[in-house]
Parts: sequence; structure tokens; C-alpha cells
Amino acid sequence: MNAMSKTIMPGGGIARRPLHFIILADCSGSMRADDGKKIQALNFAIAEMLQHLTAWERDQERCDVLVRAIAFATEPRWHIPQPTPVSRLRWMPLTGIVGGRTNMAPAFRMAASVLGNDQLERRAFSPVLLLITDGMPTDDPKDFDRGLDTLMGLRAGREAMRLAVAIGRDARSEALTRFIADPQQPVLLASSIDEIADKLKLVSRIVSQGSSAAQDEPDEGQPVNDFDVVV
Amino acid sequence: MTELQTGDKVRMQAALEELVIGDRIGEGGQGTVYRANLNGRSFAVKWYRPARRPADDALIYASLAKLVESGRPPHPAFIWPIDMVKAEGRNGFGYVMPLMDRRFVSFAQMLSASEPPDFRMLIRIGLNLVDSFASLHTAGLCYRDINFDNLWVDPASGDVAIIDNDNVGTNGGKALVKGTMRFMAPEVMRDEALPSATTDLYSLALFLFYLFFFGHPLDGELVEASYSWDEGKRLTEEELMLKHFGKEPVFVFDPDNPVNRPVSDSPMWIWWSLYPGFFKDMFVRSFTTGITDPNLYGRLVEGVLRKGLYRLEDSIWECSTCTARMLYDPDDPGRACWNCKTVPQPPLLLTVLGSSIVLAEGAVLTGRHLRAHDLGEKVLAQVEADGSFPGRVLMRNKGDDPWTVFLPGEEPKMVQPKQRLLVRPVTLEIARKRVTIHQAGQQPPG
Repeated sequence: MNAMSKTIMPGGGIARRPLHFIILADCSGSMRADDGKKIQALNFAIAEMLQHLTAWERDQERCDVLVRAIAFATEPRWHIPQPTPVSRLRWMPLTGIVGGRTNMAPAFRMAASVLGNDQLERRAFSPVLLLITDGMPTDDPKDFDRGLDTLMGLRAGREAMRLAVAIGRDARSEALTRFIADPQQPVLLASSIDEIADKLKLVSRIVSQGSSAAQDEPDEGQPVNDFDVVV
Repeated sequence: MTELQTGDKVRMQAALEELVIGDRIGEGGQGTVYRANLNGRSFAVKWYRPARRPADDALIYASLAKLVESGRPPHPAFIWPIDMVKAEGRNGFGYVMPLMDRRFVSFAQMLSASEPPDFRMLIRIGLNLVDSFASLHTAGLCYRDINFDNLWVDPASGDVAIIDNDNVGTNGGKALVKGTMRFMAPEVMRDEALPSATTDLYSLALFLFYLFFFGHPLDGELVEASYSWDEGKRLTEEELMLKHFGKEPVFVFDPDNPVNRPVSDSPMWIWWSLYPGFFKDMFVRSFTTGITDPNLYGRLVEGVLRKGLYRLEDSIWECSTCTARMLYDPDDPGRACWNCKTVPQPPLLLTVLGSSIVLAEGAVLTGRHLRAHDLGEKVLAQVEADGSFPGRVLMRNKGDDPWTVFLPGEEPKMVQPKQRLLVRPVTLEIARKRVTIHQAGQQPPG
């Protein structure tokens, strides 16, 4: 190529499928504790997690990761309302709400409102829902159940990879375990927030039924369709 | 077995040297990869998780020890196990290997860049992939798990790096690895065959299809129609792949079966339109006959892929109107430019021994073109652009001997080594072979 000419080639990258990733972040009054350190730590952790996700997205050929975020306290609100490509996302810090409670059910309903059959692209992967909180839900227990039922009543909600991060040991609760509804997937402590990106890396392994696919009976030479995905 | 921690020490089983474990740099299905230090030099150590069955650990260890013993295949792309390692007072094992250079990036990153590599670089990368797997297969081995996680590339040089070589084994041997579903040969996915060199050839063709056409060769409208969020209709990802990539695979550009064309916004459409018929035919065969006839006769072996890539390299040119990169197809000479939609002026071709090279900037004539085996891949001529000759190209003598140029009605002229010839329709003699330069679509001069 001479110095004057510019290489003109088709661009546009490779064909990938959307993977919706919705963050449900607790912005209740208790998140303002310790002179705001907790919410600052959360903002830092989310920004770091998004960097991990960006790197993960870059190195695989299957998913375009699209991020939305809900900030919830007494009421939920969309913090990032539009599905935004993770590589272009600039995380705007969350702030704790004075006197805000930890009502999870309305946040579940808000997430469910974008996961209906006619709202998700047909080709989208099952979404990822990440719930981050520092405390127990303050909802009326019956309303908590109804909110969770609304989410789990949708196919995409039920099939979503649901992760929960508890900030502080006290935040691990039955409510988070019920949200996850997967005995294989424990509540993550905030000290291991780094692991979230690793869990999402696992998404690609699960969907591609990956390289650890092992034959059950190699000695007998009979291949079986049994995939052993090891975390 | 337990995970290793930073600062732990592992001992090489043959060399008896001690490595100090550093940070975790990767996570695979079978184990974790750590940076490791040996007397100030950096290496990588893969440490295994326990297999589901303890007997499998013994199989894995034996298989790895065999790879260590046999040594790396001749191609430098393989990041090969150097030695087995164990840790004192700890169950488990691993192996040490070279640390991959930082210049390597994932293929996904390279293909998603705002400016993808040009054709010459894509072809160089393709040739490196083909040559590396050829060296493995020639050694009687097979790889078993070609996929985007395991192959890396230096976009500046075109070098490739192949990691996770613990999947490698004797062709036809038993395996603990089936591969990655999207890249598996259909007969492996259907559990009708074990991974082998023959199934590697399918996965290699699929990987090359991604490299040149930016999509999956079986992922089209039929797959799209299978996606659904409706209760009772949605297939799991595994069911979907088994159906469309294993049990009912249809090539997206199958000339006889148009039911699974790429979706309308797929990048595969534009890339498919760019390539000459002979190159596309290789992939038609790979994903039609290569699926129905899954053996070394139905599938393209590396030699055929290499020949196709060389021929494609000789087809590179650019639009005379907008300079967009194009590929010349002698069977479709009037094809419009994909970028500006005008029909470019036909290129000048250099023809020797029945094959032709488009004389565009960067094109090379090698000993291979002249079938001069003593010269091999040595570059004898290289095409250059020069601002003093706008719209023209020059051909530099890169060899050790002069060329003779025959011009009608004139005495023959010589082009000495390092000198350049202004490219125009002429007849030459290079390395005692008759070479003609002529306009595409016209007969070569007498």
C-alpha cells in the first residue's frame, strides 16, 4: 500500500446475538452509610465489572452485551433505560436515597416490563439479571412474592442467569437465594465482586457447551452427548 | 486437588526446576492457567481440576506426558507443553508451557475492529492456520477443539498462536474432549464419530469461513426461525445447535438449497459477494459434500485449502475509481465494485505456466509460481506504487538474476536486481521461464 492510499475494506464486524444484562442496584438509605463509602465502592465495583465484561465481549464471537440498570429504593427508577453496548457504556455513579427503603418487588416488576416475549429480540440469549444489595428486602412478604412471580412468570425471566451480590455478610438472605432459585449458584459476597465477570464468562461456556465437553465413557469408545461444564 | 495460590511452588518433573506461581491469567473447562516464574523468565502453568472420574485424571496425565515427550510439531504456532509439574504436599498436576506473546489478540477482537485486516493479511493468517494444522496432522496428531478461544492472532504480522494443546492426541485415539459445539463436525455432534484429523478439517474450514466471511456457515434463516420466547416453542441453546449444526445442517450459501440464507443484516452477504467463485466453491464443498461425505474425500485437506489461499492472494486488486480493495474473478470480469458500484477497469495480469497474478500493489511473484522448487517461496518480483507514476504500478526485481524484457520492434532490455519495470503489456523471461503481462480479458501477447 502506498502512503497516499487508504485501505478500503468492508467493516461491521462479525454477526453476534444480543445478550441483555440488567443490573438491579440497591440505592436505599443504608447504602449511604459510612460517609457514602458503600455506594462509592459499589459504583467502583460496577465500573470495574463493566470493564471485565467489555474485555470478555471483545474476545468471543457470540454475544453483543447490552446493559441496562435499575436503581431501586422505596421505588425503582431506570438508571440506564436503553440497552447500551457494554463497550460504549460510561457508568454514571449511583447515589443513595435518604430514607429510601429496600423494596425489591417493584424492581423485579420493572425488569419484567422489558423481558416480555414481544420485547426481546427472538435471537437474544437468555438474559442476565444481577441483583446487588446490602440488606434484606423491606417489601411486604406477599408483595415480594408477587413481584418475583411476575419476573419468573416470563420465560426470559425464568431462564435468565440470575446472580446476586450481597454487600456485607448480613445481606445474604433467603430473599436473594429465592431470586437466584438455583442451588448451584450461591449468593456472591461483595468481596468477590470480581467474580461476576468470571460468571459471565461462564455464560459463553454454557451456551456454547464448551471445550470441556467430555465423553462419559471414553474407555468403551462410545461417545455420549453428555457435556460436563466445569466452573 | 486444590487451586494454586500466588507464591506456591511447582516442580518440573523432567527438568526438576522449580517454578513460582504468579497471578491467574486464564480459566478453562479443565483447569486454571497461571503466570509462573523460573529464574526470572516468565512461563504459563496450567493446573488441572479433578476430573469427574479419578480414572480420567490418570488418562489426562498420560496423554499430557506423551505430548511433552513427543515435542512440539514443526510449526511455531503451537504453545506446546514443555514439562509436567507437581506441587509438593498437594494432590494434582499440571504442565508448564511458554507464555503467549502480548502481541497476540483474539480472532474475535481482530474481526470486530473498526478497520479489519486487508485481504493480504487475512490470507496470510489463513495460510498460517492451514500450515500449522497441516504440521499437526502430518505428525499423526489431531487437535480436536478448534474454536475462537483457542486460536489467537497477531494482526500486524499475521502470526497465529494455538493454545490449549492438551486437547491434542493421536489421530483416531480416544479422547476426553469432543470440542466446542459451534465448531464441531456434525458427525461428532451427533455422537457418530470421535474427534479426529478429519473432523479437524471441518472445524478448520469453519474457522476459515469466519475469517473470510465474518459469520457461521450454518447460521441463517432456518436458525433464525427457530428462535422464540413463546412457551413450548423455544429450544435451548444446546437443542438449537444440535438441530442446525448437527442433525439438519444447511450451508447458508448452498447453491442447491436456499432455505438457510444469512439473515438480511448479516455481514456474510457483503463478504460473500467479494470473493471469486473458485474460493467460494471451496466452502460450498466443505459445507455440502463435506457434511454428507464426512471423510478425507469429502473434506478439503490442507493442501487444497493452501492452494486456494495462494490463488486468492494472486487475485487481490483495487477499484480503479475509489481504491476499495477487491478480488479479481476471471469468471466474472464485469463485477462492480462493492463500495462505489462502478465497474473498474480490468487489471493487468502476469501469467506464467497457466496461472495469473493480478498486478496490484503488494502482489508478489515467487519461486512457487515459476515451479522453481530450488527457489521455493523466495520473492522474485514485487509490485509497487509510485507517486511519480499515478495510476500505474511498477514491478521490482527482488531476485538475484536479471529479467529479460521483450518489446515489439526493439532490442530486448534487461531489468537488473533491485531495478523496476513500469508495468505494461510485455513478455519477459524470469528465471528461464516465459512470463507475460497483459490486460485481463485480452489474449497474452504472442
